[in-house]
Amino acid sequence: MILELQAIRHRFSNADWQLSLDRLVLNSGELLGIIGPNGAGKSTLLRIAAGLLTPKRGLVRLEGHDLSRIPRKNAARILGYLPQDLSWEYDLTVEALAGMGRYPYLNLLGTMSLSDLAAVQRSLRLSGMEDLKTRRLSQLSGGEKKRAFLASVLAQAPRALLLDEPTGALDLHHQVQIFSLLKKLAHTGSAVAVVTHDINLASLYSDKLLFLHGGKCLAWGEPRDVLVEEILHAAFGGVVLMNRHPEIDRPTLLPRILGSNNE
Amino acid sequence: MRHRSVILFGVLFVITAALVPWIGSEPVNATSVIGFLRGDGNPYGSIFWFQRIPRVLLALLSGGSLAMVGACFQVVFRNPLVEPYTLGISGGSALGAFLAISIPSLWISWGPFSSVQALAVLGAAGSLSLIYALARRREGLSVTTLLLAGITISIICSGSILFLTYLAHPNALVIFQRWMMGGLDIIGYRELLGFSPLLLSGLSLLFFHANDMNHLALGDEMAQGHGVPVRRVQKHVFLGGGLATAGVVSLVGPIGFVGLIVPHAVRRLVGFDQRRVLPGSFFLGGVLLTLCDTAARTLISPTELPVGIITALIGGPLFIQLLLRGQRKNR
Repeated sequence: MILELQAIRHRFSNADWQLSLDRLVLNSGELLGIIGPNGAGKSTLLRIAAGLLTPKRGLVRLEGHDLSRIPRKNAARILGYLPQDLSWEYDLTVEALAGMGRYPYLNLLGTMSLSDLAAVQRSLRLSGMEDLKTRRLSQLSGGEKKRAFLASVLAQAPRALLLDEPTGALDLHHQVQIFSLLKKLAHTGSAVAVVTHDINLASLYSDKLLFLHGGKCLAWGEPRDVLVEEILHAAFGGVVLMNRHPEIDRPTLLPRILGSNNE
Repeated sequence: MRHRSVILFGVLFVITAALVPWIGSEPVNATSVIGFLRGDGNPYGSIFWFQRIPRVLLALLSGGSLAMVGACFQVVFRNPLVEPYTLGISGGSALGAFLAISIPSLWISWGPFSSVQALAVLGAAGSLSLIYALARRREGLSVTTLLLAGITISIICSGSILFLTYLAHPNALVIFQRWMMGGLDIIGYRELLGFSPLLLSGLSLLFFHANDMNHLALGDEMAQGHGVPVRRVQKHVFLGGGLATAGVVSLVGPIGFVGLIVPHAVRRLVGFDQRRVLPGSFFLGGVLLTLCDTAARTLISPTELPVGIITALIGGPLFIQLLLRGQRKNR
C-alpha cells in the first residue's frame, strides 16, 4: 500500500458540491482508473492525492506517513504527478526536460551525477522518447509532448504515479500507446492512478476503477463490477449503451443516438 | 559555448572594474595613485581611492543587482516586462526619500545611512510588506495581485509625492528631482558597506533558488510534482529581490531599464537556465551601469549627468530593438 486517502472532504469556496471520499488505496503493481463525468471531482481528487491541494478535512498517507508533513522534495522521490495542462516557457530539448525530473535527487545547484544521467536515459527509453531526445518541445506532436513530460516524471523513479488525462486530445494510436506503457509500469511494480475521460481505455487497461460522480464514489472495484447498467445510468443518464470487448472480457461503452426517428 | 558566454561576462566585469576608475575629468595616473598609498597626500590619488573606486564598485554592484533581480522576477512572475521596480519598491522609497528631503526635522540615521537613505529603505520595506500582505493566499502568493498591487502602490506613492510637492520648499524640490533621476555620485565606503548586507543577503537568497526557478517555467503543478517547493521559492525570490532592490534604490535612486533589458540580452546568449542567467545578468548589468555612469560623468564634463537619464536614453531604444527582433523571429 503506497498511497492511502482517508476520510477526504474538500469544497471549493465557489462550488456547490463537495468531494467526499471515505477511503482510497493505491497498491503497487496496480493500475487504477479514475473515471466519471465532467465536474465529478476527478482532477481535484488526484491533486489531493499528489499533495498539491490540501483537503479541508482528511488525510493522505504516503507509505504510511502524512503526506502534508513530508517535504516536497522527499515526496517527489516516491510520488510522480503529471498534470493535465502542460506548459513550458522555454523550448527545451526532450532530454533536458527529462533531466529536470531528477530534481528531488540533486543538490542546490542541480548538478547531475552519472547515476542521475543513467536514470534519465532509462526514463527516455521507458517512455519511448529515446530517438527523439535531442528534439525540442516545439518540434514534437501532441502525443510526443505528453510522453516527453511523462519521461521527466519517470526520471523521478517514482513508486507511485498519478496522471491527469495523459491521453487528452491524443489520437487513438497514442492513447493506446500511453495506456499500454502505464500497464507495463504497473506490472513492473509501480502503483499507477490515471484520471481519464476515456472509459473504454480505462476499462480495458485498469486493474481497478473508481467511478466518481458529483464528488462521491459511485462505485469502486474491478471494471466488470463498476461498469454496470445502473451505475452508468446514474452518471450519464440514458445516453450510453453497454457492450463487450471482442478480445477480452471487459465492458465497453457506446454512445446512443439521440433525437433520431430510428426507434 | 553557453558557459563560455557567462565566463566572458565575468571577464568583462573584471576588466571594467580595473579600467574605469582611471577614466575621468581629473588626470589620474599610476604615480599619483601609488603615491597616495605611500602617504604623500596626492589629491588625484585621493580622488582615485575615495571617489572613483567606491563609485565604480557601487555601479557594478547596483547594476548587477538590478539585472539579477529583474532576471528572477521575470521568471517567477511569468512576465517578461517586469523589472525590479515593478513591485512598487521605487514608489515607496521615493516617498521615503521625499519625506526625508522635504521635512528636515524628520532626521533618522541608521548606521552609515543618511536620513534620505534610511527613509528610502523604510519606504521600500513598507511598500514591500504591504504588497506581500495583499498578495498572500492560503496556497501561496498570487502573482496577479502582486503585480496589480505593485502598480497601485506606485500610483498612490506618486500621488502622495505630488500632494507633498505643494507643501514643500522649492529647494527640497530641486534636491528631490535630482534624487529621482538616479545617480551614483554621493557615495563613500561607509555607505557601500552599509548597504552590502541588504544586497548580499538578497542576492544569495536569489542565487540559491536558481535551479528551482528553472522548474517554474513548466508551470506550478509540474514544478511541484518534480519536488520544487514552489510557494517557498516565490516567497524567497520576492523577499530576496525586494531586499536587494531596496538597498540599491536607497543609495542610487530609481535607475530604470538595467533590470529590464539586461536579463533579456543575457538569455539570448546563454539560454534559459537561471544558473547561467543569474551570474551572467549580474556581470553584464554591472558592466552596463558602470559604462553608463562613466558616460554620465565624462560626456559633458566637468558637469555630471544623472546616470538614470543615460540608462533610459540608451536602454529605451535598445529594448525597442529587442522587441522588434523578437517579433520578427516569431513570425
